[in-house]
Amino acid sequence: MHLTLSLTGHGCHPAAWRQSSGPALPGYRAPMQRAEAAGLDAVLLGPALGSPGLLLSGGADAVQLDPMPLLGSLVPHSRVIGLGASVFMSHTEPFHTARAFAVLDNLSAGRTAWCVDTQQLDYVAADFGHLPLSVAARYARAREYIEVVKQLWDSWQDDTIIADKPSGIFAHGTKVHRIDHAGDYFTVRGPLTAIRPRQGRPVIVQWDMSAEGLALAAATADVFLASCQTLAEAQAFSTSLRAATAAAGRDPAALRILLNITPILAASAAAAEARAATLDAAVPPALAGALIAEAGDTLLATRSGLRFIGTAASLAEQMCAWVAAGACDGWNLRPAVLPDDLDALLSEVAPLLRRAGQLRTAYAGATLREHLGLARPANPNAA
Amino acid sequence: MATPPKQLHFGLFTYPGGHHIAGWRHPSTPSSELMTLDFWRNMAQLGERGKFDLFFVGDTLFTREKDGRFFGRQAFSNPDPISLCSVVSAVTERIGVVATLSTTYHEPYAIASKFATLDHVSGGRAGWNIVTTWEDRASQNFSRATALPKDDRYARGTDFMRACTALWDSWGDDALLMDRAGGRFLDPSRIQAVHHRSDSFDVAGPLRQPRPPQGWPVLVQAGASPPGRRFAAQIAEAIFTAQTNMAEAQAFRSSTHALMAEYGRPPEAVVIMPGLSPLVADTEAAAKRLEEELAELVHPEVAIWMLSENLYFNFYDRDPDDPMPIEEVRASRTPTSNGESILRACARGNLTIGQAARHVARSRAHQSFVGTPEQLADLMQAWLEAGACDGFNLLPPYFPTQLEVFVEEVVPVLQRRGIYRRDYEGTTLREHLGLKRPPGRHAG
Repeated sequence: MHLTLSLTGHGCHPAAWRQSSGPALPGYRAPMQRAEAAGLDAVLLGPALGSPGLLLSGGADAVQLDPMPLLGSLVPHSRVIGLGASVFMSHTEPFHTARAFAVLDNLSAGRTAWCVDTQQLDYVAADFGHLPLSVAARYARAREYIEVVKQLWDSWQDDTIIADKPSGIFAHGTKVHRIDHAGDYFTVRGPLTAIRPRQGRPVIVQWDMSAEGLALAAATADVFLASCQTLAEAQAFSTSLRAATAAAGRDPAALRILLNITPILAASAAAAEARAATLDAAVPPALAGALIAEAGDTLLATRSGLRFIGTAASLAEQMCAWVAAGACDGWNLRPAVLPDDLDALLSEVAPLLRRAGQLRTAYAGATLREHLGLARPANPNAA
Repeated sequence: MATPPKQLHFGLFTYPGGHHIAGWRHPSTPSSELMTLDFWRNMAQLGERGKFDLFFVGDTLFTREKDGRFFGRQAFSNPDPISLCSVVSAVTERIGVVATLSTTYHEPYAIASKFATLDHVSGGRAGWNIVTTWEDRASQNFSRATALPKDDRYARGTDFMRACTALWDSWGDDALLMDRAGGRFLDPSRIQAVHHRSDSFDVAGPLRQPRPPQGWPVLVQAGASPPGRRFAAQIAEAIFTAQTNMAEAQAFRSSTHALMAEYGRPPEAVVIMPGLSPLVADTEAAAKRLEEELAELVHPEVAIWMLSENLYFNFYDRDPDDPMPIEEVRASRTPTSNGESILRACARGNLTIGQAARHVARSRAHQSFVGTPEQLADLMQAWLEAGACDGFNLLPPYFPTQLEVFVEEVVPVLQRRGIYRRDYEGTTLREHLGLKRPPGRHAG
């Protein structure tokens, strides 16, 4: 199975910061390196709880580092694990996004993932002064945005650079292409000011469970992080997303569907229940109020996915069973509290998955696409 | 007690392959590896070994072309600056990391957030070289046909900076409480919304990050036109400038200080670092041979192309032995400050088109130096003592060899003379540059 790890602050639980042992601004290097030692496919960064309302409740770890420079700072301290970062689409330019990922993909030797954040949050819009788009326009723009980014990544052919000192030819000028995109939302000349990413195109991750979000994913996602509550729901979801992918003209086997899961683990089921209750009770009242007020807004409920309360053995069993039943290709782990739940996942659950033949003992590939079993995209300009 | 001698500050201006246009062709340059982590790690760590104040990355938002095609006779341009700086910050411990970003093609919240994070992950070593980006070819990558007019760009830039500094100051330094028992992660009374409203921006805030370790990243500016210099006088804490002549550099520095005084800023609130491209060898003759060796590697088409690009003037059909048509160039389009400094150098040296092309190819219009470590130290000391600079932004002609030579051979000479640090005394970029930390709105 495929496993990714979402890292945010002290953990995914709103009260995580009260239970974790880390400093106010926890480091990301150590958990990333532990995930790499355990053989996970990728670590995914952001987004965290971030509204001013939650922040000003005083009870939330609403610190939201920018995931891109954070990703960059992790590149030299890892050698093989994938690194994903969220970028809000609604207030950014495709040229900047394409270039940042192209550069980081090359510096990381092919390990990046672009986590496409389609949300349009009022409080984010308030920081950018943009008028909100209609739902239809927002997704039309998102589709065009992704198309422009892909074209920019492809604007340099793979074999453009020859750096031939005797002839003085550094690059084949004929292998670098303008894109001359003129659409409803963007007009972009190109080419990109960066060579093609090592992976051809960094892995595109999405998680928007709305109907429009699923249509976008069917057309453009490499990995989808789904939030489902039951096995039957997950099976039905995967079947329908794969069908939509095929209908969009893509190979449904080229999409990895991972289920979001927040495990709260302990040595016994009863102890795990008690731990979950303690955590829930530790949510400061002001924060609880702010969370309820914004739940509809932030997709918090849907994005956190399945909550698993139990032992390591029962979690490993469920993770294997759901994959075997065709509900998913793997899991996106969202530890409730860092580092506690990550420790339990990696030291107790991971060995069980390895014994079941569901988790690699060593990385066979070098790039994130290779870890995920996804082909490197051909460059249409090379034809 | 005698005052200690004034100290030099150094920036390492990076560029893939080197600042000489043919640097990538030098036998020692690893030209096939310019996009690898090893190349940049080596470069940054060399700069840190040389106790440089900062690692500097320029920005290019369009590809270099000739006749509408990518021009393949030169190495590619800068990688995404903030991405590269974030990577470099993780392989170094002390050297500052300065990324160039445009106020024209970004939004204040996004930029304030990126630099706050860079400052957090680097432990207070971030700097922002603020540019307003004038090229039409850049604007065409951002859904605009032409660049904004200069006055509009600087009006937007000034407004942009107000929004960013307000965002960085939206948290008091003591806002984080981490009171686990009491359930208080932070103190809301130490956080204020920004509510910045203007013609260009509407930013609510607050930033969703604690105040950066340096308060603000170090603000760097390089504009040399009158509106650019006024912009710098208001906000810049470090200024990069192309100065090829000591008297002109002195005048630039003192007029900058005078302009700053109009905004109530003292001279020590800025560090002025002219660009300098040093080619150094053990003997003067050896350095001259290196210069010739490099000059021979410049394809004539490249030199003329580069001159045309820098001056926005077509020299392709001209005779290289003709004198530079200085007034014709000035008349065809108002030159940028960089272009004007090239034209001044042409006038001073009575250069032909071919000579002007070689001058630009050599150093991108910055001062170039050819000689021994002692001679270079003499030049630097003279400029420092004459008040022509506070340091230099160094543009090694090829990487990494000429940087190694500088670090191994020139730095010790400057240290012996007592005008350059033997080790870092502080940990933040502000401390290296001797700049104050902005107190913020919540201070006191």
